[in-house]
Amino acid sequence: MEEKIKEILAKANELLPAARTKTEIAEIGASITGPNGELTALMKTIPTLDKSQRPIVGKLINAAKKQIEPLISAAYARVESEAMASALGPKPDITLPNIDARRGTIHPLTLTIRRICDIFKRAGFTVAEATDMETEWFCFDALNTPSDHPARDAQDTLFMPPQTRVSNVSKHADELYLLRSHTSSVQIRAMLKEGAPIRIVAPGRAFRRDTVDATHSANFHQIECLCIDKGVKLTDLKAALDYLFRSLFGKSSKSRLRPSFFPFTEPSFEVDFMSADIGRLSNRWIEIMGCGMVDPEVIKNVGLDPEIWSGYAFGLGVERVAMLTHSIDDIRNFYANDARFLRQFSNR
Amino acid sequence: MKVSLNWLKEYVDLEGVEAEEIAEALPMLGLEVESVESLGLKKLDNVVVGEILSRIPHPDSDHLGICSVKVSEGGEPLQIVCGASNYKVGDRVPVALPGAVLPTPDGKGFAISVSKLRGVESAGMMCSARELGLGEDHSGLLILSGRPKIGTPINDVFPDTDTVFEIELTANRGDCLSHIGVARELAARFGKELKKPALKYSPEYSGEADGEILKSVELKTPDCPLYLAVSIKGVKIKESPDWMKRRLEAVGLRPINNVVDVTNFVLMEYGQPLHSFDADKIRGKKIIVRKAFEGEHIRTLDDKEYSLSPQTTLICDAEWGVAMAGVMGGLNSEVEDSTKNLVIESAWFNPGNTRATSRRYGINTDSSYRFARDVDPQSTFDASRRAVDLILELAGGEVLGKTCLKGEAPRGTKEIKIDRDFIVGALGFDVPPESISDIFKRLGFGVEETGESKWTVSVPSFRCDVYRPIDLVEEFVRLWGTDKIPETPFVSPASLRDDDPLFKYEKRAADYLSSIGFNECVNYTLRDSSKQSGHHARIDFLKLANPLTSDQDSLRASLLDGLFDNLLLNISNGNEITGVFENGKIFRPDENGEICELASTAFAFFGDSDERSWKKRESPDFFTAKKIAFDVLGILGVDASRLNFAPSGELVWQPGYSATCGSERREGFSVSFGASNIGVMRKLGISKPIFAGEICFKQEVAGRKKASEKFAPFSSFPAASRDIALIVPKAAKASDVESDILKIAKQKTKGSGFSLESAKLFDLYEGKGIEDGFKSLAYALSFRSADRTLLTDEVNKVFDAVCEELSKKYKLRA
Repeated sequence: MEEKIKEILAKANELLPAARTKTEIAEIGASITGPNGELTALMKTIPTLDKSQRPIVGKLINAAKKQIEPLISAAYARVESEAMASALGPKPDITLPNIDARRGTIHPLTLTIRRICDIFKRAGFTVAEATDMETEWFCFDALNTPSDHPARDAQDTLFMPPQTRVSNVSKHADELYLLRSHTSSVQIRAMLKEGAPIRIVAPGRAFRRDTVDATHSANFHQIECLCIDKGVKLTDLKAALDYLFRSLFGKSSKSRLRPSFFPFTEPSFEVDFMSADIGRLSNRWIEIMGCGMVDPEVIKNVGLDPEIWSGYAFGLGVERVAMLTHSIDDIRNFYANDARFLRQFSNR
Repeated sequence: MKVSLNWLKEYVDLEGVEAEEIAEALPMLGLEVESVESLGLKKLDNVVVGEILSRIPHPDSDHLGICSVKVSEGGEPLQIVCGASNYKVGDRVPVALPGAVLPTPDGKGFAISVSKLRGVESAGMMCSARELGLGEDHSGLLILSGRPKIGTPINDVFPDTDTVFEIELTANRGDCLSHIGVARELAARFGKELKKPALKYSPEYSGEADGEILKSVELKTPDCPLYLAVSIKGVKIKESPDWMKRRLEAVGLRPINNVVDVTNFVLMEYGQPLHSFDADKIRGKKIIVRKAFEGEHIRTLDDKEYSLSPQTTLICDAEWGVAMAGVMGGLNSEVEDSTKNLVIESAWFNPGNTRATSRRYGINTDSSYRFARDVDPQSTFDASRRAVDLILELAGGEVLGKTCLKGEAPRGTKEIKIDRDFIVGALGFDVPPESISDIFKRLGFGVEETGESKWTVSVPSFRCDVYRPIDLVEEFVRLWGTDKIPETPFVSPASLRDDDPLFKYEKRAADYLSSIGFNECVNYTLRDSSKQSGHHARIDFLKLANPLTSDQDSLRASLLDGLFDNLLLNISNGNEITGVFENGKIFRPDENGEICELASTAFAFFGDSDERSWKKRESPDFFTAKKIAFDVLGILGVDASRLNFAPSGELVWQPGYSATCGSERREGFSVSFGASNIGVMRKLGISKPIFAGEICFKQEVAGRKKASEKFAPFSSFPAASRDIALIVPKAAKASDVESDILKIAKQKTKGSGFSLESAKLFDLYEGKGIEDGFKSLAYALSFRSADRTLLTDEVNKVFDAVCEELSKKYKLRA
């Protein structure tokens, strides 16, 4: 009997480590400990044995079982690990190139917009959106631009036909629809909707009836910045500009205000900036945008009292900033979308 | 507008102010300088007239000569070595003395000092024209004609030295469209006095014309509120004198004859356009200012014929138009060499009407440019007098009668009350009260102190743009100097306002789409309507009223067309690219033509890239597009799994390979995705399959308030899974089968204390073993109870019931 048990153990020790599949292990297991297994068969012989022999044999068989069970689990564990390892495939040459789609990109204009909006968000300004379609009143009249102002001429601004109806762009009266020639119209929409105080940046498209060339585009992007509060002063505008340029073009940046004219600001300025950190354009004045203190007429036009509220506004050209930051010399690159162009700007 | 520095100096003393300083000062006053041009000889120090007393050959050179040159009366002659050969002893030439700096093309200048040339000392340099910066002649020394006095500074020999500034003015500064206007700004800036020309002719004004060469003047339109006419008899037309020609040529005008030159000169001086008529050509001796009749013709001085509209203001005689008011004179009344008698017009025409006329006919003149920017009515009077002075001086003749005056000045002096607190409040920094009144005075404004730091400021008519206290603030800071605005900290309160939801959505969508390998693109909003019509309905409603070009004549109805262009460009350029996407606005008209501006996100990618690769992946397909569309909808806050999709019938999609759902008008959004139409792609020149998707929505959808998410407890007991395979007609929709399973399972689990958690399709099979025209769909049904581990029997019971019910409709696969 003892011999028999030893034989069974030897068989288990020989067969289980060699088993290749779970089925094989199960079969070996069954042939030993299953209902028709050899060990089970021995077990069944116990009643036939001498009474004194029975406990000894029982013990021997149980001890054998205890030895065999871990062998079975180990065999299973080994086979499963082997299956997982083979699922990994052959060991790769880790220097082989990637095969899936290369990293996508965010457009440099989007990156520039995000950057500027982030800069202003740190200063408590949040993003406002409005429609590209506008009406003459919101784009011009409310911004204190008289009806015979050259900018309102059909030569410069893109108009929709008089019968045009737009379900989600409200009119003031029965003025014409047009494609906004600047993002300043967001000032009007935002102040009418949200009142004052208000601090917003509004990125978006603007449209001019321009022939496309290296510096002109039928549509371009602006970021309008508007701050209206009690007691906002010219020094606050200057402080906002210096903050913007230092954030965008490095701490050495400074700004210069040149008196200018816009119907919706008074005083109005052209802004130049200078930075020591912008490569070949360093250390010279670069014209960047128009700005000014919001004209009292504009504040009146949105139903606010200019005796109480004052503020500043400016419109930053996104293409201009992107061209300066990345040394891009032709605006058409932004709209051609050649992958070799798009891939040059990291997702910041 | 060109402004000559010499001319400016007639009205303001700019002694000691360099041209560069002026070029820097003007922009800081708000007068942008486009370019600065030097005319004639630049200012050169230490360059004088010298006479060559003798010449001996250089001992060590064949071509050099050693000259003795006298450069001052009484002083010792200098020894100068010279390589030129065109001179003779006794010639007078420009001599650059040590210390002189001659102009060089690079702008650095060439400094003259005592030096040795092949061992012989040379104490200066005799110069060619080019070396002085006087043109290109470098063939030899500049031999001075007329024997100017020895020692004379060279600039006195060439007094035509001038600097011309090309100034670009903003729309509000019509007052600076003249030399007096610019001189006024410089006088204010440099603290000098403005010296206007002394006017000799002091006319009396009368409503009557002289009666001899002009009988009457009549104003019949409010677009001409003021008209002055002076009659001058017996002029002699001839060439203008040199000084006059020099002035005009410096600012880019061609001298014509003494009378026309005077009107142009006064225009450049005062900014008031004048017109001179040959009085004998004015029929009926009458001037009538009226609107043109529809279709009335006029031939202008440039010999072009115009058919006029009734908005045009016309100066007429008794019979026909003699000038397009404020824009250009008529050929029929032109001053010619034979002209004897003149009528000089000085008038004020409405800016808007002049601009409209100028634009309507495409005629831009110095005159229309100024009238369009609001001429100073006071200069209408002054310029008329100035013109009379100059004509009498240059062309002779005599003034007949009084100056005929019709109408009145449309505006005069305005009074503005202002105090220091207002100014300081607007600026944010302190300024002394005396600097305020001083600056206004320097600008030519009247200032009356009405209390402590309180003033009434009288703004003369030349500044039509200054009429409110805030306008005075601008004037103050302009002259005070924006460089003196102090630096202050940028402080701003925290805001409860958040970024617009659309901005936040677009950021997340772009981050997602770029993370799966797509390149973000930005395309024009305007597209070719004829091309759009091929893909989208009702494009006619999206056409602009005044497109610039036909390829940009309508608003885009979809972002996809742009993305297809982008893919095509990248294929053509041989770029490896996976896919593209764009966030942007599109425009969709409804059946009635009402347009809705929508936000949109679209993507497009190649189905089967033919890029070779060392290891092949399965190609993206319809389900790649579906997955991306669903993900983007998720970012927008729409649960796509609840949507019912139907095949898309739009032309951009390939029939049977695309799906669509939703309506912008009903749900606020729509989504379409699938394979783009093969015919459309081939027409574009794309010969690879392209999958795409577009999600269009009203802006407010991005901001829809979602109910705040509440935690739902989930079962901690295991699920019981059963598989079922159904054989259904090939055309049957998986979504219908699934909803049948869900519905039946719901019925059969009723009252059981557990439910069907999910039915997941895990196999789709057709072919061997399945009848033709059918397919097999295999689902894994997962049952679970919230409060117990399910027993096999109870699950089997429900599962059998479900199978039985399903078998009534579908064949079950064993």
